[in-house]
Amino acid sequence: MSDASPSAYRFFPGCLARTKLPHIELSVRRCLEDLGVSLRDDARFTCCPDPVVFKSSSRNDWLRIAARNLSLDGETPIVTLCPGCASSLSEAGLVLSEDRGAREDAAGRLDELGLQIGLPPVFHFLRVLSADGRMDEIESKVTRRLDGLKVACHYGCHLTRPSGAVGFDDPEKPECLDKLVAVLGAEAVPYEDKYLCCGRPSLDEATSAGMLEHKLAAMKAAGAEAIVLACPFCFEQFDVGQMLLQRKTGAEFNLPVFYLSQLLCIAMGSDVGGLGLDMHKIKTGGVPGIG
Amino acid sequence: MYTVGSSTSEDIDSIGGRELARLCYSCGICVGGCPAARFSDDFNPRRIVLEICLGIGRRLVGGGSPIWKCTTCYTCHERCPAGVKPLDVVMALRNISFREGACPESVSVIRKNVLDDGVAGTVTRRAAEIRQKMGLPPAESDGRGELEALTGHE
Ligand code: SF4
Ligand code: SF4
Repeated sequence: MSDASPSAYRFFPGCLARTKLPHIELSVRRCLEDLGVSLRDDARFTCCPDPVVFKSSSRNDWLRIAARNLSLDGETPIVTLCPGCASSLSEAGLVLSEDRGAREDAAGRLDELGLQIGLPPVFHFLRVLSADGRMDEIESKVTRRLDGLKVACHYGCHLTRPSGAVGFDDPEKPECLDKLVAVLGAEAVPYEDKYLCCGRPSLDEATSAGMLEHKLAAMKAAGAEAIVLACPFCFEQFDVGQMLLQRKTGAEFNLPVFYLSQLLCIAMGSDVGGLGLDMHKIKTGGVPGIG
Repeated sequence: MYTVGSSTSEDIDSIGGRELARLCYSCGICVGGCPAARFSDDFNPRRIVLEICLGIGRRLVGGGSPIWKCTTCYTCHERCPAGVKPLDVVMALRNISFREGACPESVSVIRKNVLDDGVAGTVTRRAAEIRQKMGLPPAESDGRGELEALTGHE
């Protein structure tokens, strides 16, 4: 689990961040670069494709497009900011290595594009941050500790699953976010159903909203002052989704949402004003140590 | 090994046959950990697998089917003691629904986005401006135009 230690990666931006959440992408790039990790862009990367909606249309097409992304440029590891991308590309890589028929099908298609199947390692950035030695480095670079801040860590589903393909942290009770938050000085409060999905990927509105409301209530009841996560879809669910839910039901959670990388940038001394926190729907201004 | 939803077994009859019928114990472990089962009243992965095993899963194909409630959380995939991979069954049913033109609109819209532009979702002018201001590379993918050729004709 601590194998994500190389210092050079190809950066896989994913779709939601690049189309709607540039501030999230900025913070992920910045914290990695501040830790000496070098990132190379490749404009040829497309949607991973996503393991929820696109895959629902055709598993074959999902696999072929994922194979193209994996095969663009040799074995240099890929780092993603989205757990969905890392999970999807890792699962596709596993299928391509284990299922000969699927590999031959994809190889035939890629051949027409002049590509040969490649299977580089793919990591979510939390895995890069959790690699041996990096926690110590982070600790040594923290100039603005978030002491006393009570946060609810939300892991989501695809960061660690399917574990056979992803192979990072505990598949159902991960700890990496709690550990990173602790290095920054914040307190990860325990709360009911901490490992429950945010609801966002369900294509049924009522199911999705029910899960969101349940999680927000549990976080609030545990005394959390903010939510910390590392998935753009969970981010949207908890930020935009929370705003819509509050508008609709009159509930008042007002729990600001942070990408772990945003807290990391702040703690390592980034100018808070340059991080685009004003793009968040649930205002972050009153959060102790940040606003 | 993928038992369902693979390139050769996407139709309802082949899903309803062989491997799964042998594998599922109907233990219900998948239901216990399933968020979509917990937060809705008509989604149940054990029952979906069972109906497919028995060859009576036709009702599960279509835009109004409970299959779209699944969050793809993979908890069933992790916990199933028989290696059934209930999520793969759900995905196979979704693939069949798409093929039959009976799926939620968002699936066709996002698929078209990806195939046309290489990216799911559209890059608004505002987003492009903010990216530029933040020093981020353009959001467009140079891979657009290459994906259509990869898809279709099984
Ligand atoms: S699919 Fe697996 S977990 Fe679910 S009932 Fe069958 S054997 Fe049990
Ligand atoms: S992947 Fe779908 S069916 Fe399986 S536990 Fe999660 S929500 Fe339920």
